[in-house]
Amino acid sequence: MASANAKAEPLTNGKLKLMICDDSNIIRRKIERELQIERLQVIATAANGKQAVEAFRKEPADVVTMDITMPEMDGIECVENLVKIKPDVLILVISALSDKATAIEALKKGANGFLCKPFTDRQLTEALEELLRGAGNDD
Amino acid sequence: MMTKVELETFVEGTTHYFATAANQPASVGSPYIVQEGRPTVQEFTGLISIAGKRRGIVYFTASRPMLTVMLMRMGETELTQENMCDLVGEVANTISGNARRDFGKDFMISVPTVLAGEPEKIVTPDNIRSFVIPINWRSHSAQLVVCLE
Amino acid sequence: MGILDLGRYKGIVFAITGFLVFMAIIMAVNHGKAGQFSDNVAGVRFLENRAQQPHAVYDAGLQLAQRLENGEKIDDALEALRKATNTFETSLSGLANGGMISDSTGDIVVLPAMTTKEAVVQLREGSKLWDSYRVKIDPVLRFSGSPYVATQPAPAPAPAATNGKNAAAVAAPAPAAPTVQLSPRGRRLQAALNDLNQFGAAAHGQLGKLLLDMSARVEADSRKQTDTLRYIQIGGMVAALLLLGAIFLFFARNLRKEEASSNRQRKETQDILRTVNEGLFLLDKDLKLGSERSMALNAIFRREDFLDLTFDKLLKDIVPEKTLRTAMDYVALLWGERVNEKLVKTINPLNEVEVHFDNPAGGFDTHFLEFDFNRVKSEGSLSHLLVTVNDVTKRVMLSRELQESQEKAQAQLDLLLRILHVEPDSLTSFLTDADVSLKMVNSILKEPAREESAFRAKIDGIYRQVHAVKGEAAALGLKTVEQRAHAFEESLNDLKGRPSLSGSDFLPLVVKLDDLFNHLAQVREMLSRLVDLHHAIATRRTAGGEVGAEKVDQWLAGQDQTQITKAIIAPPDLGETTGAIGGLERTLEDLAARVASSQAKQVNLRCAGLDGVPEAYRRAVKDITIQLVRNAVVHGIEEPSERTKVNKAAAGALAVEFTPRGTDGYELIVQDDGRGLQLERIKEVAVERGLITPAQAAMLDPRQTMALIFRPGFSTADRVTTDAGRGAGMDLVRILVAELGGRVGLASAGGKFSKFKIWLPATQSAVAA
Repeated sequence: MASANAKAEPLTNGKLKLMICDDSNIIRRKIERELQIERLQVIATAANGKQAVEAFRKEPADVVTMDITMPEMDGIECVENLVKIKPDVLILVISALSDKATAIEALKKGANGFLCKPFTDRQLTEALEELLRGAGNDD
Repeated sequence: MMTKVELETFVEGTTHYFATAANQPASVGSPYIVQEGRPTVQEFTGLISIAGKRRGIVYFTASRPMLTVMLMRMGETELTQENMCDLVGEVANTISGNARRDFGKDFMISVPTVLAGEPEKIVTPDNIRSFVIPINWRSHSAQLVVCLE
Repeated sequence: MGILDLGRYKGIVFAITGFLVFMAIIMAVNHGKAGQFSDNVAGVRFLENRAQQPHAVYDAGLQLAQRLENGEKIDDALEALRKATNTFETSLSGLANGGMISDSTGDIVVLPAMTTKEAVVQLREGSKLWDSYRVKIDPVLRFSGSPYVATQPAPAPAPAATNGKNAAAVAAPAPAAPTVQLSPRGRRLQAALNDLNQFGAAAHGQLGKLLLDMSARVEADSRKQTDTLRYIQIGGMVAALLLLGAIFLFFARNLRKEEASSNRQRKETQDILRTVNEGLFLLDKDLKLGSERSMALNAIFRREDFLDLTFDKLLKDIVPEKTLRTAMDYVALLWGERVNEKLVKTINPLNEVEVHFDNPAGGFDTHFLEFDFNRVKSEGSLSHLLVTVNDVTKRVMLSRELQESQEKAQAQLDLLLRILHVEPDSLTSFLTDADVSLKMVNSILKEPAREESAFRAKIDGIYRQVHAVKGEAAALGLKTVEQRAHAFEESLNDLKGRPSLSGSDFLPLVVKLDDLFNHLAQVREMLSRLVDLHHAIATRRTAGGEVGAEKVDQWLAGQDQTQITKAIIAPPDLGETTGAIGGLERTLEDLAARVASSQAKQVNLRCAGLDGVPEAYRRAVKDITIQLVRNAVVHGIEEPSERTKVNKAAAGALAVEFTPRGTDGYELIVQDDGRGLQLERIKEVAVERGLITPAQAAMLDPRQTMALIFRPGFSTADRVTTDAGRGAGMDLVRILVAELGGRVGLASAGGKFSKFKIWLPATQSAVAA
């Protein structure tokens, strides 16, 4: 099932690759625009889970921001697929906090963190930095 | 606001009991509201408390004659007070089970308590109107009372 | 814990290592000394043995002399002397050259006792003595051949002289017997022997003594060494004991210190856990609660026993199942390393969770708890989750109340804005009427029903009441009430269409009824607040305070005046019905204007005689006029463009007249100058609604056609809206009139007008003005 050939090639400029996955065009652009982390570079955006998995197969990102409710393939299934392709990918779930159980489901499938919509650019930056600092951190 | 679905769940729990345990379905009478004062309480009452999304009580209250006939229909020869209490308790239990199934995630539902007479022990939340749904069975009429915020 | 990371055990490990090293050194020394000891034993034996040698030399000399005297063969005696000499010389020179001896096995052993100064001096003296001795021996040893005269027969073989004692015994008669004939060499030998034996008599004893001295010396040395060894052993033992004691003392003190400090820490921890307000506990990997926890937990969870409790058991009976499952999932996630602790705090399902404790008095007590989870790492890996629990019931309640009151305030503001447009008296009377209507609905519902017919019979009665409420609400512009009543009507219509009915079908009705009751209670509360507010403003004004005349005030002022008027001076020309009827006129005007504007029409309403409606008919007249006015605007009056085409004024004229007819009762006329009843359209609709067949339609005369509009379920409006289209309007008018014992007449001319003429009988209580 997992395509083991997908190996992350670091970008030549040494930056980590980011993929944005959200069905809202506005949110995708907002993330791209407001991304203020030197270490990250957006390599792909996807409007649904299916697109995301396809893009990820071609070029796996190191970090992914993931919406939960999307057409075609929802965020939870998408997380599951991405982790199969690249187990050490860092996934930040970004979703409205309507149902905590759903968010927890996504984390169970392999996401690393959660950011609640709506978010400020500062919250986004902080969440991504925290994500890069390492999963499983206790401080 | 009380929803139709919620009322239906409690009513279904009650009618379900009659259809299965008493071997004869009950019919639902015309429901109404009691705004002031206590709703009807008959000789035997099975009651559950509810908390969570809604708070309050739901009870099934029936007369001794009705319970006597029910017991007889169920093949019970000992028509004791104890057995009648058991019976209303069982109905309350079925209502509680139905409610758990339908709203388990939003409601906390207590174990049933049984009262023989003692209407003063039935404490409805203040200033809350009750829905009374008559449950007609043979020539008798019991009441399902739903008093939830 | 790493192997080299000894932590607090570092001290004891070093001490024990030191002790072992010390013991090893003592053992090594001991072993060395013990080796020396066996050397010394060998040395003593050797020296005691060698102490006989000088004596052997001396004996050999005596024996030789004896032989010579006896004229016996001397070769072997000479050889014995040589051998004894050589043996002793070897031994002595070895001793003199650094105390070397060879033990019984032939190994060379060095005796350190022989190298002491005194021993060396003694040995040197011994060597000197031996040298002198040797000087005497050498001439004897150089002798060879026979010492006897050649003619003399060969002597008898000499007896074996290996034993010194024998030799000495034999040597006693030392002077040679005169019977033996010695050769000159023999005589020389005899002389040398005499010289030797003379010297040896003293020397051999000295030399023997020297060796015995040496032996004693070695023995003494050995004894000394044994003592040393014992001392070393004792010393080592003592030192080891001391060291052990020191270690023991040191650690005892350290342990005491550590224990004291850990006791202090434990006590501090306990103090903290006892007094802290937060519930604190640790969860291990099996999600079991740790033994250390804060006392506050007892109060928070209303239990004393937390022993062997698992987290899910702690929560099981107090939170709904779904919450519990989500919570356990969340905690499991925190145990995983993958999830970033900070980035999941927002989805903690137990952050402000509603819990329910069984109340012994019955029912539940509801609280809100706030759980916080923190990973506890020890040695770099996750060892526990620290769980902090707070009872935040008060906070949550406050914020909920705040939110509720905000929401309520918002709803009330909306309501207020609507109410502000309504004439207060109309509103009061509406509320009273509506309450009566809804109670009527409830009592219709309460009527026991088992058969379907009984249920069906209720529907029309309920419908009428709800429809009246809706109509009035619409007239007053109370949109929120109107919408609710409309929804109620929809439910009733749904029931009407059902092939069979039972109590279950009525459940939606009680729910909607409840909703309407609640909503009207809100409106009532709003109104009473406004009245209060007005009183407050009025009081302040009379006290001289200046308050801007706002819209609220104006509105209220009207109401207040009415009330004052009513209470103090009832104007004779108005009577006590003034308020309500004045209210109806205004209600109808508002209704006409509102419906017209929603239909993009214009209308002028003229009312007359409504002041004279007797009390008994007031309600019915109100319901009827509302219905007819609404119908006239919706169905009768044309749009302005259409009207101007046929040379009518853009605004339609609508008249409502109430006229007392003495003993004949009363006449109510509602007339408009609109398009009139469209008979063909009425027929079509009646056919569509299934009221008549197309064949019947063809046969109807205009009069019969007009009568169709009073049939239940008829409505000509295309869409169902709150303004019209229910089809119940005219039906309701007919029923209301019939209930009062009156009649309805209808006249209409296509394109010109419609005129409803209602006759009501005289009543006892109805006193015409």
